[in-house]
Amino acid sequence: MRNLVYTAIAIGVGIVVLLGYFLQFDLLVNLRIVLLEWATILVATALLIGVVNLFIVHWRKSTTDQPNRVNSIALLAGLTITLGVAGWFGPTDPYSLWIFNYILIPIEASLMGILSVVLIYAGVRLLRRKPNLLSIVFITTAVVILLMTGPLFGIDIPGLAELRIWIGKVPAVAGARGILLGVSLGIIAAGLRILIGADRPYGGN
Amino acid sequence: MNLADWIGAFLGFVLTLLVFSYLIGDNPLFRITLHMFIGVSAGFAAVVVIYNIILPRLFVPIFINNRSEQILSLFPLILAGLLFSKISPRFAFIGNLPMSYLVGVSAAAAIGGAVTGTLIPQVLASMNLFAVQSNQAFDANVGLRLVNGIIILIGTVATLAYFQFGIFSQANEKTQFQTWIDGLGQIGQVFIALTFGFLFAGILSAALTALIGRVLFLVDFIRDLLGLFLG
Amino acid sequence: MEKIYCPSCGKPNPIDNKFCDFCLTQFHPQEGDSADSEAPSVPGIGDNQNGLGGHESDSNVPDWLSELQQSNEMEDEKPLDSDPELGQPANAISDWMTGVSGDGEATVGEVSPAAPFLPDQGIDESQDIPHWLNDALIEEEAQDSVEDERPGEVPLGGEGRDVSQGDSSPPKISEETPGDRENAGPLAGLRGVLSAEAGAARVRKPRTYSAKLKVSTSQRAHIDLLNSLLEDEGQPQPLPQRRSISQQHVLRLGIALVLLLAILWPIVIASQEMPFPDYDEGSAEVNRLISQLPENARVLVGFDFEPGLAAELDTAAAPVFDHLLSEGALLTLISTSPSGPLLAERFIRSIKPDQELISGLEYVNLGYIPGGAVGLLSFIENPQGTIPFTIDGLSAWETEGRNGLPATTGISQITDYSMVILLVDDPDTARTWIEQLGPTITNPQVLTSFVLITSAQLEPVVRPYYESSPQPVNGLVVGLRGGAAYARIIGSDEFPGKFWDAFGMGTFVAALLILVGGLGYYVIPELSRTARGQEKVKR
Repeated sequence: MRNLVYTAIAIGVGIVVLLGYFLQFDLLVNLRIVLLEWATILVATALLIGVVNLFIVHWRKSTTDQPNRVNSIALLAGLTITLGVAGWFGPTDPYSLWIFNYILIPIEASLMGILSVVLIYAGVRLLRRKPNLLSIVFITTAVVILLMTGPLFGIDIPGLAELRIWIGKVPAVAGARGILLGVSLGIIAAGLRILIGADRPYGGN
Repeated sequence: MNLADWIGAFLGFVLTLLVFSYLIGDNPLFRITLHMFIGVSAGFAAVVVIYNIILPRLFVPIFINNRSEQILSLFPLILAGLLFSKISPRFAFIGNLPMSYLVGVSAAAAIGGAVTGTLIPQVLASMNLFAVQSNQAFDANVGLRLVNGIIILIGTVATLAYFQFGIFSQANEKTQFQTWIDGLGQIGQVFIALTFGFLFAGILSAALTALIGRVLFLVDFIRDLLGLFLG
Repeated sequence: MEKIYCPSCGKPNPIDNKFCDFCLTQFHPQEGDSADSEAPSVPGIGDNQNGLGGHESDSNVPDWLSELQQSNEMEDEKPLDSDPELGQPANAISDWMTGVSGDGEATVGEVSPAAPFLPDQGIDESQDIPHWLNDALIEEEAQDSVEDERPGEVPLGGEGRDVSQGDSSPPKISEETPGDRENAGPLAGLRGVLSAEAGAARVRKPRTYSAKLKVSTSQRAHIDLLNSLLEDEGQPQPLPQRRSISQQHVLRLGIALVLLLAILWPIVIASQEMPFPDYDEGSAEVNRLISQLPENARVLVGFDFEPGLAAELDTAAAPVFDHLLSEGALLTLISTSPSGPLLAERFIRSIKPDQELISGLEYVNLGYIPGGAVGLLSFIENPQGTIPFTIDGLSAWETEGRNGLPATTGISQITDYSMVILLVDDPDTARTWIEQLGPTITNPQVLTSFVLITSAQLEPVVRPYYESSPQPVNGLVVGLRGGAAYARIIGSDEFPGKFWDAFGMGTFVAALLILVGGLGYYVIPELSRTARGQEKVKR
């Protein structure tokens, strides 16, 4: 009985929101606005629950004799200090921005930076691992685009700039458009399965 | 720079070097840095959510709005409270109600966006490639535009064919249509390889920019430090 | 030669035989037996009285059995002599055996089966020895000759004694004394039972085989291996140590060093030599749109990128916002990611460090919209209800009893904004914004333009929307290149030159590493493999 209620709620609110894309009358629009506002509040609550759960998990790891508990202690220290400072002074306060500028951004930007080394390494090994036509097309395109994205020491190789523009506007658009259409069809199929009750990821089995 | 900026710059310098140490090999200091980053990110997310949504939209309406709005604002409060039961595995089933609500709304928003935002406009765009009077004239040469349009259309269809949105025969022998689809899929692979090569170059450019930003920061810090000591 | 035919099996036997050569059926002895007497007796049938619990006088007892019984009774009175060696009565020859003389002419039923096996009963040449007996005897003789043979001597008993040739003597049979009777078994009580060792079979000591298992060398090796495996099973084995520096490690370190050196060079020498791009269509379009904005235009700006790519997007967006602020635009900042409001705040404060923008006056930071597509849709439908307050806690919107903030004055729905600018690095986030906002933007009655400032990795994903008609995306500034082009268009010095030089060097070296390194990594092993193959062929 409970499962039926859950499924009915999911289908009901889904249909109201979906119809609002195609029909415009006052009752539907107002109901849709209310449903969407409540949904944003619930998503924010879910995010908060995630943070609480993270705290609980790592608290257990740090208080029991487990290997690598120092990692959990570091996580809890960062979480607690940030919650304390940003929570007390406010998220846009200079103290909060100090933590953001000198701890968060250096770490995340450095992680992105070493990604460049990893990507070049992967590109170097690609031909050896998969020596086929598609790899050659992949590598050739990447090299041409890379060379023409930067200034190339001011050297103007005739045709290469036009080639880059043409690749970006014609074949890459074709491939990306096909991928986008495929992704949208997949999303529609997955969403419709939920709206007809075939999929119940909310535990309505 | 004031003292706080110096301390912050030094901290950023050390953390940058700790992360770069991963290039030599995975080590405990790198892992500690990574976990600290996760903790700080989660802390900021929690603060922003509490300041931006939980307080002003969940609790404040109960106290400052009129009666009808107060009653109406009880519903998301109750739903949010039920959602908190997901923390406990024993009582997690209580949170299924708000979860079903969320899933229904999210699915509808995704479908609506996919249909009205991507599917229809992109199909129209593929058709309008051959519209001579279209205001989307990126090339004045009509002939060249038509050729490019044909390439884009073939590439789009071939890419979709590669993802096998086709009919499969149940018999052992392929139908002629299936053979066509397979052949088109082979062409689609080339377009996909080209697109992914473009994407790869873009990701590498973005990562290079991040690396340049970090190297600039390190150089500037060392310069400032040397300037401080050397006068 | 005359023959007699066995009454049991019907096979011909020499006339002198007492027993049938084939089935050992006794032929009736000559005394007291006539030629036409009844069926011969089978040797070994015991006395019913002693062994089988029979009865003395029974009219149904056959004659042959009764004769046996009588002879047994007669012999009971006689002392028995036992042969100490054999453990059997020495004279255990029953009546049916005593009458065997081997001289008379054999008749049907008169021949004793033991006749050929009795001692001193030479085998007549005229006798027809069955081949199976002949072969067995030859075998036995051969075994005996092997045991007894001395070098140079003729084996005893001749070579391959052939009984049929009549040149050999029959095997010895231990004599049985009269009165010997069988003591156990089904033949208990009967006399003259053929003992097992009495000529019917030669008791021979069986060959002794060594109880020791013969194991070959390879089997021994296998056994040792299995034993060692079983012994090692219970013992923890140390893990093989990974090499601290592998080939992949060296390659990765080499790439990192080369790349860092390439980036460091223009930064250290502080050169700004590389020119900005000549023309970029997307950037030019954005420039045109911003130039057409009215005075104090309300512009909605979305900050939806990760802090890791802040360097790229901040650098690319700086000349655009420089232009925007110079046009007097009032900014409303929002984000669909939790770190977005902080990135927005950080960016706004860094655009004009000498002229700090005032929150609430020149810009409004609405903060975080949760829910992705759901949150965006809610904001598009009802911005005031979705985010009623700024991230600083101020009331963001104009209401009946309250004036709103300058940046949000006159805004009741999203189409009231003159422009929407999105700073984004993620393909899914960009697609979500375009899908939810696009149908509104492409409405011909709507004048709001939608501009993207994206990371370089997004160009293939957003370009289909930019290149389409109707156009949900009106302008596109892509990565560092787009920002540099925009800076060149407006003649701004907000774009850092050494950043662009380092970027140019870095992309060139990266492309070279992939091309040369990839080819070398592929070609060199192939060449060495070919060379090794050719060497093998030559050998």
